Amino acid sequence: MGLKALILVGGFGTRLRPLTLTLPKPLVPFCNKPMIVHQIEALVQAGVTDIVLAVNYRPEIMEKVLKECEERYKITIHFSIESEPLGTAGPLKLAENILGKDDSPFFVLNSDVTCNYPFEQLRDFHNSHSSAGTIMVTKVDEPSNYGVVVMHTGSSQIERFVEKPKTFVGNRINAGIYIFDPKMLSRINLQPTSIETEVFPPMASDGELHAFDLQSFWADVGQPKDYIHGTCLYLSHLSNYSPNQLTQPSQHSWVNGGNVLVAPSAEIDSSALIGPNVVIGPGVKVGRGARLQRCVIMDGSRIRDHSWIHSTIVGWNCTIGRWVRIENIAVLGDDVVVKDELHINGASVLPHKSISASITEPKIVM
Amino acid sequence: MVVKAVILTGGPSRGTSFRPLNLAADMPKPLFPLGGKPMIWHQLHSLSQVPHCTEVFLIGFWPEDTFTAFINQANEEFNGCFTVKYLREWQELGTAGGTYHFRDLITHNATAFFIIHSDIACDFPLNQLRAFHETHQGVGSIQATRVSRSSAHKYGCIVSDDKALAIHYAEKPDSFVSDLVSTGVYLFDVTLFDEIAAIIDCHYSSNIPQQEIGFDEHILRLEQDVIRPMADAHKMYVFETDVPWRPIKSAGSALPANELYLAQYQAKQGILLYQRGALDDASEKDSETEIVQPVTIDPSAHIARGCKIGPFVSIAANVVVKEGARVAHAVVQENTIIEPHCCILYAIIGARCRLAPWARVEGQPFTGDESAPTQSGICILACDVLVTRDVLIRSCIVLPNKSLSTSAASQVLL
Repeated sequence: MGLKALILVGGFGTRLRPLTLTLPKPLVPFCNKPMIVHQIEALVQAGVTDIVLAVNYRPEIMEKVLKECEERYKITIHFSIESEPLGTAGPLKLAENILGKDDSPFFVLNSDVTCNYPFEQLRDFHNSHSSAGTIMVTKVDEPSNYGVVVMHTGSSQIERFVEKPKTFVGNRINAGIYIFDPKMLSRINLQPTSIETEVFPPMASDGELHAFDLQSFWADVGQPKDYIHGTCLYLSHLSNYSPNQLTQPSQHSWVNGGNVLVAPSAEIDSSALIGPNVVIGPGVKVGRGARLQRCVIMDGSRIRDHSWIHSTIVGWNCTIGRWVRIENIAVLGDDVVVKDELHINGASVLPHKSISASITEPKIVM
Repeated sequence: MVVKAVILTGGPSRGTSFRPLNLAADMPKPLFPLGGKPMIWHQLHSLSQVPHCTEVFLIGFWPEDTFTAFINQANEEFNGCFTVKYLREWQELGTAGGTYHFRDLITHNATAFFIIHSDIACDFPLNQLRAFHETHQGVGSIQATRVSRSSAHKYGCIVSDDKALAIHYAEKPDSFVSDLVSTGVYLFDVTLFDEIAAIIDCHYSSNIPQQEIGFDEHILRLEQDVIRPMADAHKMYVFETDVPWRPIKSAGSALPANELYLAQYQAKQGILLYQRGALDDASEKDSETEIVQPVTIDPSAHIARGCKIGPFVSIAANVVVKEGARVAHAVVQENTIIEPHCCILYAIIGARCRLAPWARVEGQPFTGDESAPTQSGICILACDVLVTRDVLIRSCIVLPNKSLSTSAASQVLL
C-alpha cells in the first residue's frame, strides 16, 4: 500500500523574485533540478504513491513538468487549489479525501526546505511510537530566531514550543517536515489555520507529538541569500556522500576547490576557474579566464571572458560581458544582459533588463 | 625679439594635495608622467614651437639633482631650440621672489619672458599669447579662460574691460568675482622686474601690518603680491582662450590631465601614441591584444595576449600586463605588474605595485567640471601597493607600501 504526502507550495514565491517571475517557485532549479523534483524523488524513494500539491494558483507549466514526474515514477500528483489562502494547516483539511483515504500515515513538507529528506527513517521512527504526529527537528546555532521545540527530558516526546526564545531553552527547531496519522485531520477546520501555532501546541499537550532529529544539513531556501547557502550545503553533502555526482577536479583543470556541479552540456573554457560551491546549468558557456565562486548559473546563460562572479544567482539565458564583477547576493532574472566591465553589487535585476552602468550599492533594478 | 621662459616648479613642501602620488622621494610632482612624458615636458614642448625662445629656466627649491636627468634629456631633445637650466632657490622665495632673484639671467639679451606654472595641463597657445602681447602697451599678458561660476572661486579671478585690460584680480575669492580665471600662463616684458622692485620697496617702507596684505619678509607671490596690484594699476592685459586646460592640484586631477594630453596627441601628434609593433617584447602578439586609442605604452612594457587596453591609458616603463587584463582610463607607473584577468578603470596605479589575478581597481568617471576633482572618485594606488587576488578596490586612495587583502570602497587606506 502506497504512502501519501502533501507539499505546501502556497503562493507565488515572491521572496525568490526575480527568479519566480519566470518560473513558479517549485520549478526553480536547485542544483540543476527543480526544487520540487528533489522532494518528489525522495518521497518516491520512501514508498509514496500519492502526492498532493497545495497551491493557491495553478500555472500550466507546472502541470507539464509534474505530468512527466507522474509517468516516470508511476505516482499520482493531485493539485489541491485553495480559493483563499488556508495557512499551513488548512490545506491538509482540504486534501482530507486523499490524505485520509486509508489509515496509513502521510508526510507533509514545506516546499522551501532542502535537506537529505530521510523520509524512510522518519516513517520508521513514526511507526515506532503510538502518537499521531512526528515533527522533524534540526539543530541550529542561533535558536532565538526560530520556533524552538522542547522535548520531555530523556524522551522524544514534545513538551512545548517556544517562539523566538529570549533565553536558551534548546537548539532544536521545526524543520518543516512532518508525518501524521490521518486521525490528526480531525483537529483541523477548513479555514485559514497555522499548523505551527494553532495545531501543534494542543497536540503536544495531548502527548500526540514526537520529534525526530534530522542528522544531515538543512536549509530554508525561500530567499536568495538562503538559496545560495542551501546550495553550498547541498554540494557539501554530495561531496561527502555521493562525490561522483559532482564535477571531478581530476578530469577538469578548471575545477577549483571542489563542490562544483556542472551540467554535461555546459561549455567551460579551460582557462576559467570554477569553484568552490558553484552550480552551472545546461547549455551555459563560460569564457576564458572567468572566475566563479559560490554562485549558481542557470540554463543557457553566457559568462564572457575574465568576468568574476561571487555569491550570486545568474538566472536563465543571461549574458555577462567581459571583465564584469558581480557579488554580494546579486540575483539576475531571465535574459538579463550585463555590458562589459561593469560592477554589480548586490542588485536584484528583473527579467529582460540590459544593464549598461555599474550598480555599486544593492538595489532592485526594475 | 628674443624671449625666455620660467617654469615654476615649487618644492618638496608644495603640492601636498597631490599626495599620495608624490610621497615617493623619486617622484617630484613636476615630473609626474602625463601622456607618458614628465608633466613639465609639455611646457617645454610648447615652448619649442615659439620662435627665438632661447632659454628656459626651471625655478624652485628642490634639491639640486632633482631635475638633472630630465634636463639632460631635454637639452638633447630640444637642442637647437633652447637650453634648459634649473635655478635653485636656497630658501623658498615665493613664485615671484624666486623669479626676481634670478632676474639678471632672465633679462640677459631678452625683451620678454613667459612664466608658466608646472601644475597645469594645457594645449599651450604660446604663439597666440605672444602675438596678443605685442598688441598692447601693458607690462604683462595673462592667459585666461572661462570656468563655471560655481568653480571660479578656486582660481585667480580676473575682471577685464572691453579692451582686454585687466582692471581687477582676486586670488581664490570667497565670493563670486568673475568666471574669467588665470590659467597660470603669463608673458611679461622684462620691465616686470622694475614693477617687482617697486612693490618690494613699497612694502618695506609702508606701515601696513604684514598679515593684512599677506606679505612675508622672504616670500613674494606672483599672483597675490605682484599681479593683483599690477591689475589695479592697469598694467596687465588678458588673453582669453578656450583651449583645453586642466589644473593639476589633487592626485585625482592627474587623470583628466593625462587624458587632455592623450587627446592632444590624437589630434596633432599621433606619433606619440602607441603604434602597432612598437613594443620591445618580441613575443608580443599584437593581433591578440585589443588597443583602443588614445594610448601610450612605453616600449619596455610587456602586454600579454588577450588584454584590452584603452582608451585614455598611459603605461610606463617595464610595466607587465599579463593575459586577459583590462585597463581603461588609467595611468600605470613604472615596474608595476598587472596579473591575469585584472580590471583597472579610472585609476592611477603607482610604481612597483602588484595586482594579483582578478583584482579590480576601479574609480568613477570624473564629471565634466574643469575644477580640480578633489572629491572625485578616481581610484589611486601610491607606489609599492599589493592588491591580492579577487580583491576590489573602488574609489579609494591607498598610501604607499600597503598590502590589500580585503575589498574596500570610498576610503583613504593609510
